[in-house]
This record gives sequence, C-alpha cells and structure tokens, in this order.
Amino acid sequence: MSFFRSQEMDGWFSHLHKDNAFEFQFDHYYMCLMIGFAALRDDPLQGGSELIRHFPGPYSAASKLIVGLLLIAETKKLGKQLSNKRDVEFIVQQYLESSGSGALNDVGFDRINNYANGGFKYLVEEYDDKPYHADTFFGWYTDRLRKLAAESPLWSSQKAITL
Amino acid sequence: MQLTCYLRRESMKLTLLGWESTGLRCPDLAIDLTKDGIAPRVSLVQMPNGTGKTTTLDLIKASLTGRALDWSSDDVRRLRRPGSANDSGKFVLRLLADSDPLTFELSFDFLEEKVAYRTSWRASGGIKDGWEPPTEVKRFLNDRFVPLFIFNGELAQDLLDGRQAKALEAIDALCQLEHLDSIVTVALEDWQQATRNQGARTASGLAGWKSREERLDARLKKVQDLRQKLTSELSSEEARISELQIELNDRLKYDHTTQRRKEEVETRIHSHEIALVEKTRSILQLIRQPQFLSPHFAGGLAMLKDQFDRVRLPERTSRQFFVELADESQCVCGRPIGETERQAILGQANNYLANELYSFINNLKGDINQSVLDEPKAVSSRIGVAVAEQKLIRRELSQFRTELEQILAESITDAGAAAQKLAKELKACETKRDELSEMLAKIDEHPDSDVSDDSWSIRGLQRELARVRDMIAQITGTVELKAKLDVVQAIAKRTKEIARERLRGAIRDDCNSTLEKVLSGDPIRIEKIGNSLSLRDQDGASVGQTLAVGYTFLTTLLNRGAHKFPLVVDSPAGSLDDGVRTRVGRMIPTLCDQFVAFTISTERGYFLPALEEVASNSIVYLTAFRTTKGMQGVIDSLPASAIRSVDGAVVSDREYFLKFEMPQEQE
Repeated sequence: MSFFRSQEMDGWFSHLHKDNAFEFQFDHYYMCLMIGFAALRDDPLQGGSELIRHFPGPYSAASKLIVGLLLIAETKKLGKQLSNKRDVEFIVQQYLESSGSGALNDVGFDRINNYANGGFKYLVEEYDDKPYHADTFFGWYTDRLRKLAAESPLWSSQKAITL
Repeated sequence: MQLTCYLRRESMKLTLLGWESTGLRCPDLAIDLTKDGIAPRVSLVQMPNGTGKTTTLDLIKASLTGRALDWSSDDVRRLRRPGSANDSGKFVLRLLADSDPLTFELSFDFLEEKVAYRTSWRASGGIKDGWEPPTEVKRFLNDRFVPLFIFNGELAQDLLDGRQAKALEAIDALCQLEHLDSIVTVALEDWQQATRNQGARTASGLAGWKSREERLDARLKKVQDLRQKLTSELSSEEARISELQIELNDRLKYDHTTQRRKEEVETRIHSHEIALVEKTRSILQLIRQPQFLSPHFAGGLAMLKDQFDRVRLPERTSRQFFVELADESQCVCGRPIGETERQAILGQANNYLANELYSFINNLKGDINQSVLDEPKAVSSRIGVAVAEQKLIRRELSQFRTELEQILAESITDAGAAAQKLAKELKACETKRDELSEMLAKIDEHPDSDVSDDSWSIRGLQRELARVRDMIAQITGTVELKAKLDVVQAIAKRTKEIARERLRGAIRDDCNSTLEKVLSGDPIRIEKIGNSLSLRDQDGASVGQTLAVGYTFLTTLLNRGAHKFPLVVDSPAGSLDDGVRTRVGRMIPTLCDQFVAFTISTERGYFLPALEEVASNSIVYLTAFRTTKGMQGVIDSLPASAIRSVDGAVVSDREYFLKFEMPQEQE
C-alpha cells in the first residue's frame, strides 16, 4: 500500500510550480492531509493515483508526528479513549505494520489517504479558483488551518501550545 | 514506414555566405561574409543599434526554418519599412551546403500581407518554389535546433534558468532523441493495422472506440504542434520585449533626483522579489512540521505523549517475550511448560504489542518531546510571524512596483510621441506574452479526471488515449500485441531517459574541461545538467559567467553532431568582463568552423584582439549602418570601397571597422 491521491490534486496545485514553491508532489498531499485532520474530514478515495510508498526525505523528521495526528483523529472517529490502554493498543495495532518499523499498514494508508482526500475536497470547495501564487496561498492556508483546528471539537479540546 | 530512415547518419556542413535585404524594416544591405570567395573562420558584422540587427537575425532564422509560412498578417506588416510605399520586399540568404550553393529567398507581398519562399540548390535541380532544403539537414532546420546556432545572450541566460528546460531541449534537439518516438509510431501503426483487420463480430462496439482514438490522436497532435508554435511565438515576443525595453530606456530622460529614486526603487523591487521567494520557502519548511501549523496540533501531540505515559506505553514486555517463552520447555520461574501452560502463555501474548510497535511508540514520544515539549514556546506562532512578514514584503513590493510604474509613465509622457508609441507597442507585446503564457499553462496543465476530446491538456489527452487503446485491444483480441506495443513504448521511454542521462554526463564533463581553459581563474563549473544547467556551489552566475557557460555548452553540443553549422551570435561580448572577453575571444574560433558575430563598437575591446590572436588570417570585418540625415557626417567620410543603398551602407575594411564610432542614431 502507498500514499494515493486524487487525480485532480496535482492539477489543482499546478500553478504554484511556476513559483518554484514546491519540490515534491507530496507537499500537495501533505497540505491536504493536514486540512483533513484539522477539519476531521475523510472522504473515501475512489481510484486515485499512487504517489509514494513512504514519507519522502523532507518529511522523515515529522513522519511520526503525522502518524500521531492520525492516531488522535482516529481515536475520536472510532469513539475510543486515549486514556484507555486497550483502546490505544487497538488503534496502534489497527493502523501500523507490526512487522515493519512502525510504518502504516494497509488500513492506516487507507485512512490517511481518505483524510488527504477530504482535505483536498475542502480546499477545492473553499478556495476561490485554483491557487496561483504560493505567497498568497500559504497565507490563506495557514490562517484557515489554524481556524479550523481552533473550531474543531477534537482539536479545540487540546491545550494550545504556541510554537 | 521504414526504420532505416531514422538511422541514416549523413553529414553535411552548412556555411553562411551572406544575405541581402530590400524594402524591409532593416536597411537595404548586401552583406558578403566571404573573403576571396571563401567564408573565413570569423566574420564580424558591426551594426550599431537601430540598424535592424534583430530583424536581420529573425529573417535569417525564418529563412532557415521555413517558419515565415506561419506568420500572421501582423507579423508580415511589422517587417515593412516604416513610412515606405513599397508593396514588396525581399530577403535572400546565401549558404553553402558542403560545396554546393544553397539559397533561400523570402518574397514579401505587403498588399496581400503574405510571404513566399523560393529555394535554390543545384543537387535538387535548381530553383524551386517553396522552402525545400536538402533532406540531409532538413530535420535540423526547425525552431528547436536553429536557435542553438543563431542566438543571443538571452539563450545563455535561459540555459541556467531552472524554470525553463532549454538545456534539455537543446540536447534533445541535437541528438534527435525524438527518433525514439518515431519507433513507437511505427509499432503503433502496426497495432492499429492489426485492430483494423477484425471481423464483424467486434465491429459495432469497436467502431466507436476507433473513432474516439482517431479524434484523441488528432487532437493530441494538434495540441502538441500548437505548443511548439506558441513556445516559439513566446520566445520571439520575449525577444521583442527586451528589444523594446532597451529602445524605450534609451529614449527616457530623468533628472538627477528622479534617476536616483528610480534606481533605488528598482533595487528595492529586486531585493523584495528575492526576499518574497525566500520567505515563501521558509514558510513551506515550517508548514512541513505539523506542530507549527496549529497550537492545537502541538497540544494534541503533547496530550498523546502524556496519555502514553499514563497508560504506561510502551510496556517493558512485548508480545515476542511470551511467544518465545511458549517455545521453551521451562518457564523463567523454573516450572516445566506443558501444552496447557503453552496455550495460556500464548493467550497472554495477545495482550501485548509487537516489539516494533513499542519501538514506534517510544520513538514517537521522543519526537514529541523534541519537537513540541522541548521547543521554545512563543506568544505568536512562528508560521504566523513568517506569514505576517511575507505580507509586509508583498505589500511593500506592490508599492515599489506602483511607484516605478508612475516614474516610467511620467518620463514616457515627457519623452514625446516616439517614446509613447514604443511604450504602447511594449504594452501590447507584454499582453500578448501573458496570453501566450496562459495558453501554454493550459496545455501543460495536469489532467482532470475526465478528459474530453477537445481537451487542451497534453497529459490528459495522452492518458485518455492510452485508456482508449487498452479498450480497443480488449475488444479486438489484440491484447498481446498491445502488450508488446507497451513494451516498445516503455523501452523507447527508458532508452530516451538513459541516453539523456549519459549525454548529460558526457556533455557536462566536456563543458567543464573547456571551462577550465576558458575561465581558468574562475572556479565556475557545471554541477549537473537537468532541465537547465546547475552550477557547482553557486546559486547564480554573473552575466559574463552565464554567457561563457552558455557558449561552452552550445559549442560543445554542436561539436558532437555529425553536421557542422555556423555559430551566429548577437552581441557576443556585450556583457562580458574584460578578462572573460579575452578568454572567450580565444575560445570561440577553436570551437566552431564558422563564427559570425553581430557586434557594436563597444564590444571590440579585449574581444577583438583575442579573436585576432587565434584567427588573424581568417577574419572578415564588415561595418553596416542605416544612412539617415543625422548620420551625414559619417556618410561624408565613407571610404570609396563602401557599398551604398537607398538607406544603408556597408564597408568591408579592418581599419574602418576598428575606427568606426557612431553616436546613438536618432530615427
């Protein structure tokens, strides 16, 4: 299993490449994923095209944190409690490869791909047209994501730590 | 189609002998590059600004590529001599194809706003209507290849521009890697033939798919051709914009205070543009770390770590411990392990996670500690601050741009009607450039999921065509043949990639050994040839370095082919430092058989002595200019050997070339 994204995703972000803002197509995927997490929106991905099998270089440092956010989001979705050891073990076992190095298993990839797809759908619905300039889009994106998380029942219940 | 036609490797040498123009935007001039009937290694054509250098170069390119047939009425009208009542004009380019004279003649009909070609080449039976170059070189005489040997400094700049793929295009053009695509075409035609030979059984459903395939294929070819045409038009438009900007700038006059403010604003715009790109990149670096994206994400991760601690995860014992213990005959407490005990121990194992999962939890906790808990806390988020700084840079940039526009608008008004006309033309060219760029962006767009038959997206059409062909293969029972076609396509694609990779490596090495000689005191070297040229340990290069690298790359490329072409360069030394001029001047004659340079008088210093050092006996010195009223002093002192026309003069003489100084021509 791999990271899969909607076939429309690269097209939607394509104008930003003129600004040389992105080095990786995974940047598109990741930005959609974070919006999907913030909005707790997961839309099943039908078809889609394969992107990559593992987190690319610039994301290797943050890869576990990203999986951590998936675990938090899924705990909420499944009505489980992080304060319950068995629930936590269930979630971890459910989404991660037990024979590998803690990489996502098929179920984990399926879920994370759905969040990325949900985030992408959200961006398409909410952003006027396609993004044309990285400098204006990044400003809108970071503002919107912060606002979504602050208004989300899941994330707003967490203590805010400003970094 | 026979594959052998792609494998022929005849060689041919093209030599530029001269050209003649009458009734066109450039003055009527007959330029003869030969010396005692032979084209020397170096020809220097000194043409002051305003003599129609760009027009002449465009006409030379059009003669060689046959592109004038695609010109619009506007394009043709633009070449008419301003204020002239002439209904016609002519441009004749004279060459040698090996030892046979080859001539291209462009006849302009300004009433019909059309242009027609005639080609003269003995081996093909003399004069022929139309653009009919010798077969051996015809495949090189196109918009992709000709600009590699007839170019200006901009191409050298573009070669290093990461947003363009000029270096890759140059390699593809020279090495004709598109022939690999032609092999695929042959295989495709075979498969299409096989699908045509099906009986009535499949006819009904097949007809619809075949017709869709034809429509998509035709559309794809049309869009690909259009892309090539638009790219070429964009390149011409950009060249015209640069030319107009220079012309306009020459006419604008500023008082001391305005001049200083203009320079200051331009510097600020440049530094703000760089700052904006850097800030945007730094924001992306922050975005890539989720803890910076939202204080609630950071808080959620801290809570996750806290919960792991509370429920004591990871455990000290993992599932593996119990699984391994169940295999033992004796427990750690010393009691024997029978089947009942073994099942009980394995049952217990299910309550524990695998080692790797505990290890993951441990690493995740470590990462949360490091990235969230140990990270210095802030009042305002780092991303928020960076975005605010970015907004400020953008706002200031916008203000500076508006201010510069105002300064320019005022000085254009002050500079009079001629400047206003140039400004108007510049604006129109910029609008056209933007339209062309927009159209190209549409063509290069990534495909949407559903692609219609009239899509503009090349990628989308290619994908849909592949899907339709798969469907045809299934219907016609030619799946196996289609699979073979796919293999041929994959091999051709991979071969192209490998060939490109190897060529890039070999060309880079050749270029670097030349650069070591040309720029011996300068450490600049090519690190990598990707879409563009990347320099080692440098983000950019000076104009001089860029030009030197560009020359080296192009001459290295041209030297690798079986054919020989003249190297025609506009302003070869204009932006070079004195030291680089000397080294480039010594280098060029050794890198090609014929070097033709369009120069202005200020380029002579350092460059000419270096050229003469290497090719002293094989240089033609020509000086050509437009004869206008303001030039009466220069006209009066023309030597007897000068050849004059109604509006131009040419002198072929070294001493005259060296002494020629001309004030900025006023039209």
